[in-house]
Amino acid sequence: MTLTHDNPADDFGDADWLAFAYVAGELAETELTAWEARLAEGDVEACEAVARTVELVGVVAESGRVDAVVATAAGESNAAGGLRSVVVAAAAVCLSLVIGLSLQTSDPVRVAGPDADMLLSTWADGVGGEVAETDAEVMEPELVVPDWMIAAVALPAGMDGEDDE
Amino acid sequence: MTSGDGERIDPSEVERWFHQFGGPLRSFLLGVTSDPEAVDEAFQATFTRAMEAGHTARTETLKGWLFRVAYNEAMLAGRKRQLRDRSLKRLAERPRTETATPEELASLDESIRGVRELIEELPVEQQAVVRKRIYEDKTFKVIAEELDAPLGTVLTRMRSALAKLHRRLAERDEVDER
Repeated sequence: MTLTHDNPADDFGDADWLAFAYVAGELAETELTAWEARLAEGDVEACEAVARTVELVGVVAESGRVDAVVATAAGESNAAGGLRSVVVAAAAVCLSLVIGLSLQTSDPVRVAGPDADMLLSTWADGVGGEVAETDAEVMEPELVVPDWMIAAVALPAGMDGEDDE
Repeated sequence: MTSGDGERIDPSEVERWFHQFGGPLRSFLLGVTSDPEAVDEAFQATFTRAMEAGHTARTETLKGWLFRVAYNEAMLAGRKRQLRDRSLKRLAERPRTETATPEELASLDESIRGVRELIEELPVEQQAVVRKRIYEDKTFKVIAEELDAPLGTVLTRMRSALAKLHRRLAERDEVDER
């Protein structure tokens, strides 16, 4: 193949162009018949052009597939990040509701015992603050933690939403 | 090309053909059949035929002989499988060759990077045609309608883009051969 031409189409011969049209299924009936006759005869120029075209299409398609994978991965990452954010936010809202309802109920409030999860204790200290502490001192109640709340606050480290960016 | 008895070819000679022409033959078969399974069948049949009748091939026309045998085997495999129409998308979906060496895969990755860069350097009009024709597998007629451009213009853009991509791959092959 000569590489000295300025016009890029000059070093892309008719055989290559016909080969592309052939593998793309774009040859008209008469062209197709003539082209396949060349292939059937073992016309090296035509056969090699088909082989080159397949390689070319494969590489171009693969380059597009890499782009698509990167785009898909980015999209999935964003989607996953969004989902994680929603889960964390929902958990926070639920926690607030549960605590709010607990504080409003006339039943004795059951506060976390000494073996309660450290995170929940921290949360109770920060949110329930003085009321919970006071009640705990007086009544020594036990906080019942629903399973779904434990699951929500015990999200794996990779799902804490920190990598959303 | 005979093994000495005048009737059969030396198997090592066929093995040499396999290494020398196997890659282009496989690509050729894929272009003819658009079906990886038919390719495997025809490829195997081609070299079986080479073992049986390779002694009749002349050295100066050996490559053409192999292509001719491969084409005939592809037609047989195609008829058996009632192959569907050709499609670039089906070609594009083929997996990377299982027999590629790490060096070949590295070279392929380099080509893919180079081609991607080159596609991004193409004029926007040519990029659009390449993407629609190869990535989206739309016909030139549909592309012309979508772009509201004459069919001839679309074909010229594609051919020009292919020429540049073709040159890039040829340069890679030249580097690989050194």
